[in-house]
Amino acid sequence: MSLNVLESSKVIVCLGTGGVGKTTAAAALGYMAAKAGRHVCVVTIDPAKRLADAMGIAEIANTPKKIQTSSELDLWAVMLDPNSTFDELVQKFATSEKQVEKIFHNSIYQNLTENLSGTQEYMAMEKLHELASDPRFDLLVVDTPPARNAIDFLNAPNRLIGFLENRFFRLLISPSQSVFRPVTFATRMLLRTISKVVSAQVVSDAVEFFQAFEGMEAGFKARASEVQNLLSQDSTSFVLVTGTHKDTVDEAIYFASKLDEFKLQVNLIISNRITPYFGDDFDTEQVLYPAGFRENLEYLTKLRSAELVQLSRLSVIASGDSHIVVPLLPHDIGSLSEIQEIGEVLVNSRSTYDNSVSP
Amino acid sequence: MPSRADSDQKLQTGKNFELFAQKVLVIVGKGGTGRTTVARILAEVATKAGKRTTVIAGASGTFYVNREDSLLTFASLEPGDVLIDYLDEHGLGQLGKRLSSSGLASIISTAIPGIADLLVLAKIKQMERSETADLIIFDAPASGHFLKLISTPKGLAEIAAAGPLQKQSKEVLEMLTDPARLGVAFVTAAEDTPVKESIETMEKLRQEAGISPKALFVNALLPQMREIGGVAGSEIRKNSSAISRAAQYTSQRASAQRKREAMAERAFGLAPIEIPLVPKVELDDDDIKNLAEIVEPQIQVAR
Repeated sequence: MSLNVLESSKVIVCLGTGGVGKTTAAAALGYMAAKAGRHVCVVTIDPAKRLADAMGIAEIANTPKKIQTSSELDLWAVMLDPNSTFDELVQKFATSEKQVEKIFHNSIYQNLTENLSGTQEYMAMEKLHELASDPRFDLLVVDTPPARNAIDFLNAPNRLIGFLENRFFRLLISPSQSVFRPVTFATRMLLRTISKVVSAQVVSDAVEFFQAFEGMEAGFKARASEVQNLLSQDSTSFVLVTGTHKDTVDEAIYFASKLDEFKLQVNLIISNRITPYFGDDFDTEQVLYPAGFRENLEYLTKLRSAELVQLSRLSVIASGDSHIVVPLLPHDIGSLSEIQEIGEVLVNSRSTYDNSVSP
Repeated sequence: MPSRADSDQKLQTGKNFELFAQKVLVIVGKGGTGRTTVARILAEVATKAGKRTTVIAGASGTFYVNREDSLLTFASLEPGDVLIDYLDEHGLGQLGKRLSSSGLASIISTAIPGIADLLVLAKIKQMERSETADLIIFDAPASGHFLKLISTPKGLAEIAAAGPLQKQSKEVLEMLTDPARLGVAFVTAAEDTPVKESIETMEKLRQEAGISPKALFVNALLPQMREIGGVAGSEIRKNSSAISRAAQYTSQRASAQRKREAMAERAFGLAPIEIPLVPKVELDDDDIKNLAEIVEPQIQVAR
């Protein structure tokens, strides 16, 4: 095993936009680490069905399951359930069973995980925090939700706390505050307008929501700073996963700049699905090829060089030896052996983008 | 680019298929499958046919900014902004800035999931009702939040129950379910996951909202290199030259693609509109013009 992140990390966080093979990369990294004797759990969220089947986690479950491998690796996987993860958090921080019930029944709470952006990211981090103290594992590989933008992921805990601490609303509705600050005429007018524009239900749900969460922010806050702390440890590595298209490369560079703002750094870049290199002997005069064959090679060569130009832009965020390029395989990835295949590429052909991988 | 071995032009099988027959065309697809490419191609085909076209897009709007003319206009509708505008217009204007920064908009959109998407659709409905465009192409966001809204039976109904938005959602629903007014075009890559997800979304739309797909675009297809198979190809297969290996690679990927394409075709019951892979990482206006020429004969456009 020659990949540093697999040797030295306790946590590997895979970041990237949707559709670039992030889950596959996470699974492949986990597989190779387990092969080298580490005790690994891959935390994933919403994997493609084939991949979930391959890992044996087709069902959403909040507890890790061991992946059945031929060589008995200590490799586990869990598909994150953001709703029940949030429920567990609420149960942990609530002061009474009554408070738990009230929160669970509130419609804003019920919609929170799916509709407040950043909440799923936060729950992925929460799961990470929980598994970090699980003695069964010494490496966690986290596949993050496809981020709309980098800030969603890094800001996730703060975002939820910001929502819970929504000061404007809290001042309006918190009963303890209203003793000192009676609801004014202006406030009543405002609430009435909101009721009219959206619905009275929203106002009463919101009031109920913030009342139910009263007193829990401190717990959430402490937890968020623990998560933040875990992320900034030296033993936590960040892996950026990209494709070869301009937009995914743009996104990766943006991601790296955001990590930098949080004083975190990219330890490895994995660029998936580059067109393989076939050689450039266009002149094979002995053989008569059918029409289109020569053009096909020219076409693939041209595509590959356009892809390489894009990938070379990533040198601003990582040195060559921390950038692995994985060729596009002619078949879909959907079984453990194919995950292993990608893993072998990651570990063995690690090099810059001029590696010549033939099919 | 190599010529495609099977360039026979398939026409959609639906009765009187004409892609731009209805005013609104929603382009739906998983991120990275070429939704924006299709929107750009269709804008090109439509304006060439003399249609006044409005493209509605988010970040991909930059592609249209320099191309706006008397036929092509561009509008950006970001759900978050539309919600804040709506709140502003309805009496929360003076407090608008302060409210949105203190999170009123996020509370409302969490309390009423899909409200922002509903308001986007309501804006589109307004445009449809006005006479400013013959065709509205909506490059829908990848997350497809609004799809969830219309493909769950309770989605829109729940918002409708919220009172003041009732009229809006009723009118939006009318537009969505009227094939004479709105069509949904799917875009997929010919790969396992995107095809399966497209089929899933399509079936949900059909069952829950009664919306049938208008068209199916299959993007980034490779040429098939048929000569490589069988006895005739055996010499080529033995040969280890770059040309031969490249041909075998393309052939293998192309046949995997055609299997996925056929799977999509069966599920959708529509002849796919095929778009070849262009060997580039970003398409410029000339590429789009070339692709428009390939797409145009595959769709019916009334002049």
